[in-house]
Amino acid sequence: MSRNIVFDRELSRKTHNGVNSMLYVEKIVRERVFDSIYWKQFCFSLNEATLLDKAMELQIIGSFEISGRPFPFICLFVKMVQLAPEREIIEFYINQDRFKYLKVLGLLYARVVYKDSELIQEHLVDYRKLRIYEDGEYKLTYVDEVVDRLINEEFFIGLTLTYMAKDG
Amino acid sequence: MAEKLTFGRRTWDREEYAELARKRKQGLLPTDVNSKKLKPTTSLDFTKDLNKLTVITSQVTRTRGKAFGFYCEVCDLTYKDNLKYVDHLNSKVHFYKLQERDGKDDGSANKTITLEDVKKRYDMLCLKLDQLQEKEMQSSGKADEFDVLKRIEQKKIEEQDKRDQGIRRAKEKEEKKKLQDDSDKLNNGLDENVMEMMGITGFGSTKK
Repeated sequence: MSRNIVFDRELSRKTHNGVNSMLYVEKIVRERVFDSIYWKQFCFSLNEATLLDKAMELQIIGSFEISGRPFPFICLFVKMVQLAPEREIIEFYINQDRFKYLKVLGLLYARVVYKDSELIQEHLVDYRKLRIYEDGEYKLTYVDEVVDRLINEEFFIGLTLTYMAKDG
Repeated sequence: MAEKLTFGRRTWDREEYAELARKRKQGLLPTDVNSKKLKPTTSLDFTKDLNKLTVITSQVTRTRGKAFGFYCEVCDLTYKDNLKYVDHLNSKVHFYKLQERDGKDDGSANKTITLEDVKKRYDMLCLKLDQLQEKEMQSSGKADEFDVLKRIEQKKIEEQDKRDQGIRRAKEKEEKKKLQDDSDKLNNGLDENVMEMMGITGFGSTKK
């Protein structure tokens, strides 16, 4: 059990630019994720390396089902935010080619925490298919579409994406 | 017995109670309701509650010792629902008990993970996945079907065969045509000769 995590409300001890990393995820999302069985069962003792085990099993991008049950994707995203890995590790997640959902996780993290459009933009050339659950239905999308949405839109699978400076 | 009305005072059947009191005085009824005589002990029958639903008060979430439910070996506790059980497995108490049992913490949990660790894990997972896929394919007998290089080879051979066949066929056709042409020419030549002999040249009916 990592000492980097405060036990009780599971706030991270790490900060980005002076903000507690956990505050990058909205409170409602955090609470729902912490109460879910997937989080309690699998995410509790993960670290940056063992996160890969769970990320390779991902089948779909999504935040919450209509019933409010969170998808593993959002749980792992919250875990990443909590762990606040080094930037080089996130870049490794993004640049590896084997697991596409891990890549999307890394991209979302880069968008929410780093707000680095350059890092994300490089992946507009990836055309692999992805499954996504949004607005109560399952859809088909592609990595480049997701990247485009991350750059240009304000919402992604129910998460608010804060302002990011775009170049050009 | 006591009769409960929908409103007003309750009324009692006095005679019934008088009868009960008389019996108790004579020693026909047990005085202590909780006495063991009322509840005869039976041998344990584990199947007697099968398919029976019991309501458990929500406050009772765990019991000490082994019981029906989710049992934690380390802390000797049984939980009634899995969410509480998992909560317990993640709790400090359990964690420290586990440490006590398994000896001292090796400090691996507090180690900071570097990029190298992540890469190692990634390679390991890739290898594992490859092996798993290979095994699956072999067991399903579809190894050839998914081996792209092999399939390309096979396709090449097939296409070559087809091409060869096509060429052969075309050649055969040509030869046949040639033969036909030759025989036609021969026939035509004969006719011309005969016609010439008969004094007819050039256009005109070929009817005889």
